[in-house]
Amino acid sequence: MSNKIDWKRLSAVEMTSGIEVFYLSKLFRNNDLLHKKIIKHGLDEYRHSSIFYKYNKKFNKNLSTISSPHILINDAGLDKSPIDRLEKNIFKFCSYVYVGEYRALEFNNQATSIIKDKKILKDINIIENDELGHASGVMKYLEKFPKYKYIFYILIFKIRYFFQRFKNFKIIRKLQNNSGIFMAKIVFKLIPASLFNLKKNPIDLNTSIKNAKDI
Amino acid sequence: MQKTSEREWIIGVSYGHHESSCTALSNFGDIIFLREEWLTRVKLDFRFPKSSINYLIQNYIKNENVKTVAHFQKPLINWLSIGTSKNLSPENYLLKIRQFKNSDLFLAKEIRKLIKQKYNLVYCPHHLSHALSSAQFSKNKNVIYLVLDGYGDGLSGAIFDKNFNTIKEFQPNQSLGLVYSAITEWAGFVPNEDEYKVMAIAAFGKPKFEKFIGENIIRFDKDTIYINEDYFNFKDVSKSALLPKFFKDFGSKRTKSDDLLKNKNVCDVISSFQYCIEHVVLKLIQTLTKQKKDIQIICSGGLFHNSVLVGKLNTYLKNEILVPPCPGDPGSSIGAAFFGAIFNNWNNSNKSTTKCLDSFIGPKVEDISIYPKLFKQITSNLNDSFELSKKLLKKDDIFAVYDGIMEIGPRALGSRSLICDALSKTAVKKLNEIIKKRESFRPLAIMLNQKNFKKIFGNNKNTISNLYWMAQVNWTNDKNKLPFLHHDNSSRPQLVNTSKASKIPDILKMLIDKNYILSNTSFNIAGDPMVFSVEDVYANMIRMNIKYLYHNKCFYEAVDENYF
Repeated sequence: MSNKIDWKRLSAVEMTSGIEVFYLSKLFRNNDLLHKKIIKHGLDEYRHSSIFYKYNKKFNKNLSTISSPHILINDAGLDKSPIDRLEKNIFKFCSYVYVGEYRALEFNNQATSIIKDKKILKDINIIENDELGHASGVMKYLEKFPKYKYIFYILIFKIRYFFQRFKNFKIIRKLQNNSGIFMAKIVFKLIPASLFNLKKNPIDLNTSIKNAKDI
Repeated sequence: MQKTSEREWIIGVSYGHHESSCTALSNFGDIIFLREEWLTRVKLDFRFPKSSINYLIQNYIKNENVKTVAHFQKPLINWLSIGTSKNLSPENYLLKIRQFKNSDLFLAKEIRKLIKQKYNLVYCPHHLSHALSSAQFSKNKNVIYLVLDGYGDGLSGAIFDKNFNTIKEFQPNQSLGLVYSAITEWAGFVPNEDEYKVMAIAAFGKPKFEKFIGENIIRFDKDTIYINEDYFNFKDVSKSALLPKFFKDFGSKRTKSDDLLKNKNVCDVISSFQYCIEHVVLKLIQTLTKQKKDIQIICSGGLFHNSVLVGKLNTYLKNEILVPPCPGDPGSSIGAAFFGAIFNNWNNSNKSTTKCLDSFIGPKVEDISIYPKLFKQITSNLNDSFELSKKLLKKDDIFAVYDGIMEIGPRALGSRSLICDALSKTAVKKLNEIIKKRESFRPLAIMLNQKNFKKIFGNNKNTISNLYWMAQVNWTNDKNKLPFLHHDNSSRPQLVNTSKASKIPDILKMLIDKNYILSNTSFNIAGDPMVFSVEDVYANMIRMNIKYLYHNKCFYEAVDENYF
């Protein structure tokens, strides 16, 4: 059963979580203790990523690495993250991390129901405890502030994750892909090829300076 | 450098192909280069470099002083010139539309989010950006710029004279860079990312297929490059770069993580392609220079990341070869910035475009001493630090360096490095395989002084002391293989100038002055970007279990309270 799990994607998702937690840590530089705690949270996520990667290597034996930018940005969702890498709103960021931890816990529950290997279950249990610790830590921090400052964000992120489940259904993805191909074919068929044959200017310095504003 | 209103700035931007980067150039000649991956922590991050531009605005540049933003390529020409011909696969067109949505065609919109003031937006042709970038690293005036890469703005390379007039252009179907990426894919690695691994593996094979490839696939004839299009797909962007004929002649693609080094066929094929590419580039340069021995060849483009190729060129050519520290696409944001300077006529009013750059044009490293919860200071001056470093090297221990101005190339030159004694087999193995978690077939680079260089490599012609020089050098002595040498007895030495003017951290200068030969690798776990911030330094020390860090004349320990 263990080889039915997409360990590679899991590993990449944990790594992107780690990356985002490190973005968050930079917003806490003026608070020594929290700064360090958040860095350690990020380190935990990296550790989880390497545990999943170990299983990916064991069960799938494929050649892929998870640190590839396309995997982290496109497959593991860094590009579609609701948190921008320049986000400065601590409440929004913490709410996002909090909901993310609960989402990870939800997955762990699903995984433990199909995994039989005791060693893997033990690892997942450790990860689960980490996630619980992170979630309660983030909430403890948020609870220091009035609820109205963060509850809206938590709600938004929960709704977002709820709808994301449907997006991940294979049939929806297939439909999206097929309609995309259909549209792309129409666009490229309707537009005459001559339109794509732009007259290229010489690329020497003098001409390029004259045409510097052309795209 | 403080934010002042007297300085005007140009921001050069490179993104859309490989790693993204930006370069800020002032009318006073200040220059700061940033790779987006350093800040986003995604290795080879190709997205719009908004974190880097934001960093520049927060730390160095006043928003209203940005005069021009210069992009390293022409986005529309680039998008249109590949994958838009008729009769390609539907997936190709879908991918093209997706690429359109995420392409640099929307650069203006992205920049507007960061820079609110009015500025000029200019576009420099892709290969001219490469040439302008590499030009900043040479003092020589009698030069030819050779740019060879995978693909950009509908070309795969170009040659410029000293005034940046075009001598030759190479079409996409002449792309040696794409051939190398295709071989990378065939060997089971990630194309456009893992080419350096393929280069390392080439040393384990023999160029058995060199004659076949030279006659049938890649050749240099009548002053130009020919690549057999029956073997490679240069048109459809959604499909593999390899065509069935390639598999028929060389075998199927490697898909499982078997021991690559035991797979003789793969090693031999890679070695043969490496050999043929070296041969073609060599012939190309020989044709270019003919009898002109005094012309310096300045090479840039992704192909010249291949240090074995650069080493061969330097060995066999009579002309001087120069490769900038960052020859690939990220480095071309420097060229774009200088293009912006020429556009603004800055070269007439000041010296900003005539200064010769070195590799240390990144930002200054952050001050770790203000984070006592993360780092504990253990030495208080340079002399104590020197004594400790000697002890560490003697014990086969490894220490990290985070000091001075950041280096810009993919190779660590000392500012953000992991250091061990290069003559200790135990330390080198520990650093490479246990701490860095790199594949065993990849050798570590070394730093040493001129005296040791001569001792180890003899009177090799490859003695250029450019800090950013990337060529492989062969060992001349065949007794007792040294631990830092690659399988084919080659190495990538960094000759260190120990004078005060050198920007290498003091501790490394002192050690090298005392005849130490140091293994020097980038401060990161394999697959991650080099450390940039205090958080990265701490996290990497914990993840790699590195105890000691040199920073600003002192040694520090990471305070970890037995984290793991």
